[in-house]
Amino acid sequence: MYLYLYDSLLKERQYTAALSNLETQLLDLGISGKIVRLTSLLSPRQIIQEEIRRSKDLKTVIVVGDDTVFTKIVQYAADLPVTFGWVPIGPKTELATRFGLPYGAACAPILSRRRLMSVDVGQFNQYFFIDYCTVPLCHVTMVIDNTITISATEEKMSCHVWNMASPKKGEMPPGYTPMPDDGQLEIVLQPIAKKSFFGSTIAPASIFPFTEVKMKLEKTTPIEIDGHTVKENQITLRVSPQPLKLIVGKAV
Amino acid sequence: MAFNNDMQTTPHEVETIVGPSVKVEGDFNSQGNVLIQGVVSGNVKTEKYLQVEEGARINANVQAESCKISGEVHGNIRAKTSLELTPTAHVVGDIEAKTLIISPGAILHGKCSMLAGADVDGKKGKRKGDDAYAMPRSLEDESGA
Repeated sequence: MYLYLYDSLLKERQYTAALSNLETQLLDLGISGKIVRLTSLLSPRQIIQEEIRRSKDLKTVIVVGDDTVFTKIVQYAADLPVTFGWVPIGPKTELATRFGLPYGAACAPILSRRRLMSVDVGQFNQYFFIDYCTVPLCHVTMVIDNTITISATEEKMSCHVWNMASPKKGEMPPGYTPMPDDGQLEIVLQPIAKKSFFGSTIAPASIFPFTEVKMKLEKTTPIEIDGHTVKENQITLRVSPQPLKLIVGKAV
Repeated sequence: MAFNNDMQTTPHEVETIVGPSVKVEGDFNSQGNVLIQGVVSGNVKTEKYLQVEEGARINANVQAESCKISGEVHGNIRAKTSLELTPTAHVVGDIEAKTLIISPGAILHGKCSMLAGADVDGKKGKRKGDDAYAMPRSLEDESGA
């Protein structure tokens, strides 16, 4: 059985045609299912858990919406025992294209084909992420896997965990390509760029594979996780033991 | 993760990089290749290749499949296959390796032992005396005589 979670934004008139096309395609392919519209009052985790409780046949949850909605659902519900699908409809669908998912109704045959990928999931405190997590410039001291302590010798550093290659050029250390299905995550410590008369120079980054990282920041800092911002000063980053099963259009 | 940077100095896929602006304390264990450009205070152990770059410093023992040292190591080094000390290397401690390359200008304060096949696997072969390293055959005959 399929559960379709519709973004609240899809009520807008501009998405009506795309939605009706999608629903026709899904019906033709015999993969239509229950539709639940997301609202700000209902937590996606609670919705999925409630549907699992109601129907034990529920194995697949399809998110219909843009990157913001999908990553928000992943943030809260990545550890639930379901397979996720995604139909990108909305203003921002860049992450979906990286998974080979075309916009709107064109995604229906991909859902039907059901090519599964186990995507590594990072856990930042209680939140899950599949794309990236960025801690802005700070005086870094962290403990990795309870065995080694890492501290910056000079200036502030920014900390990044990338699960997928970033589409922004120059953001990642040159030559570094994260693999979203290799079962491991790495923390990248990027020192602040030194500015001089001839331009700025970036010191080489440090890269450490980890299973758990604990950090304590000087003050509560906004941290970016898959495009969403949360404010924390105590950070625990983990590799979630359970990868996210996602229906994809191509190998990433 | 794949990393293919700086192929001229690092002909390996690097999994862990300790950058020049980072200090690591504690015993450092890795499954993959390690590149050290900063300071490590604690034992470093990897099952693959280890490179210590110029300006980097390790204050403890080092164990790896193969090593290339261009920086400072204050501790013993054991390389299962090859160990290379480049002209800028400064090692204070004993070294053990199956194949040893010491470039002119490298500084070594310590004993140097060559590992035989049995020693690489952690088992001691049948040897005369307690020496754990392979001697040239001519010397071995002399010591046995």
